[in-house]
Amino acid sequence: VDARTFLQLIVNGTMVGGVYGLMSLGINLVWGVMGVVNLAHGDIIMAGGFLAFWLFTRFGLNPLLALPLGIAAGLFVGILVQRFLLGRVPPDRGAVKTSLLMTFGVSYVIINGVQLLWGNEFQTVMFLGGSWHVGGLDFAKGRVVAFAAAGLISLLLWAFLQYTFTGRAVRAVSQQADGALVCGIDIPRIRVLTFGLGMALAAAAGVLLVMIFAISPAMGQGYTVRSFAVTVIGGLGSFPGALAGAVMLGLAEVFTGYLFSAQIANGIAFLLFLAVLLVRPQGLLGMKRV
Amino acid sequence: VIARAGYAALAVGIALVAVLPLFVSDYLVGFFFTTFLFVSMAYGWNLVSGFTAYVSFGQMSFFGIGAYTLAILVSRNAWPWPIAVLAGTATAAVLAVPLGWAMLRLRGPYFALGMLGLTQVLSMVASAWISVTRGGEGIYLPPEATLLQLYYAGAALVAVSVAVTWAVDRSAFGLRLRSIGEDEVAAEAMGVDTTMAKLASFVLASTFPAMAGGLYAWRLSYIDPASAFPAGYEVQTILMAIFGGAGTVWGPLIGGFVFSAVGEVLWARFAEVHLLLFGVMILVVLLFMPEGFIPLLRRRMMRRRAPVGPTPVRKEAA
Repeated sequence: VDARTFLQLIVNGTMVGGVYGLMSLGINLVWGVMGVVNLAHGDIIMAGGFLAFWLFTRFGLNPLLALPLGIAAGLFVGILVQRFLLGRVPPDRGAVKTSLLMTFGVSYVIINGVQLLWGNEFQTVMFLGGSWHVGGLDFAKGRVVAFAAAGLISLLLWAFLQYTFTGRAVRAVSQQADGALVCGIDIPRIRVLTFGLGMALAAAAGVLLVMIFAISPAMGQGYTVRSFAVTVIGGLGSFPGALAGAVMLGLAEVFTGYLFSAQIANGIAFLLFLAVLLVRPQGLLGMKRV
Repeated sequence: VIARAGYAALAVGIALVAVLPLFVSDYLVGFFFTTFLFVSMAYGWNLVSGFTAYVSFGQMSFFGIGAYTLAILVSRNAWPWPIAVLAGTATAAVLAVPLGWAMLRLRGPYFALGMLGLTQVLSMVASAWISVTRGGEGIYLPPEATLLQLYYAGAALVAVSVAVTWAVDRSAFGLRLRSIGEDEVAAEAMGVDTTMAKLASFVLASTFPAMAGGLYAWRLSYIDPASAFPAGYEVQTILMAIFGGAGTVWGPLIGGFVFSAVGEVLWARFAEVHLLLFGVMILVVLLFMPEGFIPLLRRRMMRRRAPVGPTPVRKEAA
């Protein structure tokens, strides 16, 4: 690998990592606030991608304009799932198990739903071809735009959690649910909001992802594992951690893809996930113990 | 009386299974064969996830390992089919030791995601390791095992699954597993060697899907990544186990038969949406009968027999 290729791979990996960061924020938020891992997370990512693909091929809609629609759809599905499914699980010892099984069921509903609506093939959106050349390196336009949009959405989420009243309530519930309850925070409402937000972020990530990669309905669960891996690598509840973990995963995938094969690159998320869990279970920058 | 009726039912059941192929079409024999595979996989899931609180979404990993080991062995040496199935099963059990050692250090969602990822990674390995697995091209098997032989092998597998689960349920080992499911820290404090117990259940549970995978490979007489790690089998297996009642001895049997029949109808009439319907059914079961059929039935019967006295109360969280 010569120096130019090396730098090019770093650029590519970082761009992908930006979208992975956005992918993981939803699962991170939901897990932090609700103690639930959404196994349908990756399927929502995939469905968001297919929505953007459909809007683009059918109506010629720019994926960046599809972004708000994807976010709204994700929010809607998330609120429904929390309101009618997860919200009804009794909060006893079996709750984690039941919520995992439920989201596993939801995952298949989404996969099959997307197959019915938009078929079983790999699809992508080629709305920005070509690349910009800066300093001898190629910046593929689609990747740059996806990276920038992902960064912007992440920043908005951060500002929301940091500065708005509702955002602070969300963080309060994730830090100490009992304390938040005492302060008069409506916890069930916050949970509905959080789950909706998590799904909305997933859908947004999917819209951006389809600009970079080709996706198929069966790939959803792979993105669940990736999102979770990023969260595990970075650590639960840490924005900088999520970003670092995402870029690390993006780089690892791009490099293994270049050096070995795309199939091995697909498995790298899982290997990183296991390695981090076995060596440093709290993640690189995380706050909670496993 | 109940016990005697139970034995009688068991004897009748065994006799029925034994003579059934004489009277029905090959299609139905094939259907029952598939049902047997699902029932035993549901028992496998039940052992690892029903007794303890470790929810596995990756039992199909062992299905694939069993199928692939067998196919690779048979394509290189002409092994008789039952030996090949057993070899596949043994390989899965051996591999389950290090895998379980790594996975079982994870809890709750970590374990669940780890197992989900494991199946994906193995299926990638099967596609990528072309020198051994022949990748997407797949491996053809000689048509050695007849449907009838496979049917009886499947029935034997179900019998073994039930017997093992029954024995575990009554043993101190089963009690240890249940204590882990209730509260792992407390179990450890009571002196239960939780690591050993979990690992033992993990390895034991890996053998059922592995053997099912081997028999399935003979039935198809062909194996490739998509058939060794079939999409949707995991969700179907879990649905069967939780419908019947996770952690019970007879639940997977009932759930397996009910949802194989349902699955067959769905597959025949609504093939495009059968995964969606399985997903929805899992949700319905979890919402309306989270404990499953057997505990529900047991409670009904208890209530009828003892109308006075306290009704069993669902345990509250600590």
